[in-house]
Amino acid sequence: MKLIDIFKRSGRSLTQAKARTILTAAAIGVGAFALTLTLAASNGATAFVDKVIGDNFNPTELIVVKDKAVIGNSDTSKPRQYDPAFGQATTNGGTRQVKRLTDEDVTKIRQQPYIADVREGINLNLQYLTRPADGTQTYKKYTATADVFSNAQHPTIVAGSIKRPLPAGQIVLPEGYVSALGFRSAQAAIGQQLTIAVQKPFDEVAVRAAFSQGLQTAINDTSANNVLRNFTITAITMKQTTVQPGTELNIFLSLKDARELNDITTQNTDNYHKYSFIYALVKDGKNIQNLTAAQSKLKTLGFQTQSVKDTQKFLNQIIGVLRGIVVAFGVIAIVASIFGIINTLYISVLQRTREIGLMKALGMRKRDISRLFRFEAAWIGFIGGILGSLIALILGTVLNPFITKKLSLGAGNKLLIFKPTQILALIIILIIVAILAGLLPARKAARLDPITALRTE
Amino acid sequence: MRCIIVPMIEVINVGRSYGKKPNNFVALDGVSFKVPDAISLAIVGKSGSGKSTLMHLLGGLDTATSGRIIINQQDLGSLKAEAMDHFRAETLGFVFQSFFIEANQSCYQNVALPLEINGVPLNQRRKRIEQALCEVDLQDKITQKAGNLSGGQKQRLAIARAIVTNPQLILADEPTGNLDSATGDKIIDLLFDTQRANRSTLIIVTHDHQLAGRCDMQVNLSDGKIVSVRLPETKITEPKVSPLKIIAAKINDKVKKVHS
Repeated sequence: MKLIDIFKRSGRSLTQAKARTILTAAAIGVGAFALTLTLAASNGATAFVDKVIGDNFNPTELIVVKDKAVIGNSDTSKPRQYDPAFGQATTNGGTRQVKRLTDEDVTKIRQQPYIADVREGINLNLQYLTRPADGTQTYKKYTATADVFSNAQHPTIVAGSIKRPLPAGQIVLPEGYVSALGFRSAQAAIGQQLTIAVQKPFDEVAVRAAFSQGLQTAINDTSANNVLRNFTITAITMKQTTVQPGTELNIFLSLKDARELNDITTQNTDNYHKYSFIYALVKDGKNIQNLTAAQSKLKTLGFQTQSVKDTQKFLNQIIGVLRGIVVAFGVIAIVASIFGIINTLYISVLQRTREIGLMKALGMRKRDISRLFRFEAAWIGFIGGILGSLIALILGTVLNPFITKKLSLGAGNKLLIFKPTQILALIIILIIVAILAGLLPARKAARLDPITALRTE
Repeated sequence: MRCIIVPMIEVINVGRSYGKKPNNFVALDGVSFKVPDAISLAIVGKSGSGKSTLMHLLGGLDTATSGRIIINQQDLGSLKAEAMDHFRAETLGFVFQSFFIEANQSCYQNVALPLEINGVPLNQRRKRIEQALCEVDLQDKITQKAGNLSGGQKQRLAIARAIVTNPQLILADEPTGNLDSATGDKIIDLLFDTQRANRSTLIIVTHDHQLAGRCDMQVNLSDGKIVSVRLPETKITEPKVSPLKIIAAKINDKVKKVHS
């Protein structure tokens, strides 16, 4: 018997029990639906991670720390000996005391032959940000956090342009501040002045002098402790793709300005010229071997490092775990549907006992009868796969903009990314699974004794 | 010069028993007969006489516990499963008491099944199916669902399915058992007509002695044993009735119908 004829017959017998076929296929469809969405979501997550990293980090740059706690987990169960290098820093585990890098460390790293450049990791907490008073017009003050603009960053620019490296005296402003600061449009803000205030810590000498002149003067002086700097807005950026929520409204300054402001805010404190992390640019870092070699060399000098690859790997690991969990649920759904297929086909075999007996009597081979039912199973797998993935595809496409917005993934990102090859592979796998599920009923059909099957009484 | 006529079917001391000794049930015991080519044979017996068992053995659906069945010089007992399937598909046509047609499928699909099993190419099928349906006078029902046919039409469809592969041997198990006598007679006429026209061998299993009397040869069974055999009256070397006579008979029938 020709395969095509068996194939057609199997299709026909399915259409004769439409409701049963659709319901059985629906069971496998649930699995297909879950798996299609899972795959799409993990594609989206991976793409998101890649974009975040591509937008924010230079792959040839290493994050160098002295304290492992800054970039990863460290043992916090044991007491740690004090060192003047300790200071508060925000880490993965919250704000805590960490050992920081000093100027000597920075110099030491800079002197390494495999390091091309070093820049300090500066995270400035500004007092406020506003526009200089324009005649009688004054503007509201807003809180802000400033970062150093790195050459690796490629934000989406709404207006203006960014020179690389960012020249001193210029500022890159997120779109969110445009209307708050009273600009008519992003374009109107370009070239305008912006005032940043940072707080200068109390200088013991100055405080003593102030107190000697009376309490009121001392109080007045505290507000006079803010240092103001003016910057020119060079670009307005779209809401950024970031790893950490809450950093979307960070403004960006040149390294020189950031250093200067950082010095002002840390002057006379034990934070002065101490950094919880620095960035070290590796020579020929595009070559992964140079990068890992630099990492191991810095480790022997007592520093911990993290490359973009490490971060990426770490994030992808998290995604992988999450994906694994959801995939497991999808697989459970499919396993459940396997029993459905077996059951349906068993019923089909029982219902068609006479038909099978007749086919055997007419000389149809065992192999072909077995095939007939395996093809039927394959059809169910195919229909279920198509059904599930199609619904997932439609639902995903409709809901994608909404979900993406809700999760604030930033412009240009999608939570769900459907890949046709993945869906195709999924359907093929489901067909194979269905065929495997059909093996038992198919064997039962093939082994049916025609005399018993055709007995009329 | 002596001419050796090789019989089409040779049943040699065939026995079939179920279960183990001493409690075994003997369905057939020492059955032997020979069937010449292109005749009609009736296997007659009451319920439980072993006639169905004999038909199953002849149809290769069951294997004898003793003795041999030789059809076309082939010992059925020596055939492996696949060869047996092939033998059934090529040489046999079955007509059953309960028709066993697929009610949900069209007449075309029903008749197509043996052709599909035999691997007949698609482009040859339509013509052969139409021809077979024409022979049983169902040519206008080709696209109809088999379930919508009347009892007689269903059995005619089953006959079309049995003859579409031009088998040498047609096994009919109580073909009129589920039909009223008038319809049954027409089915029997049809079976005899096709047997003669195709020069095939027809074996009818029945308990109807009148029907058995119309066959060229008759084997009477009782309790698994042959009680009597009526051999064909003449050696058949040519068709008993010429195709012209068949056509004439058909015309006569139609004329009668018109008159009545």
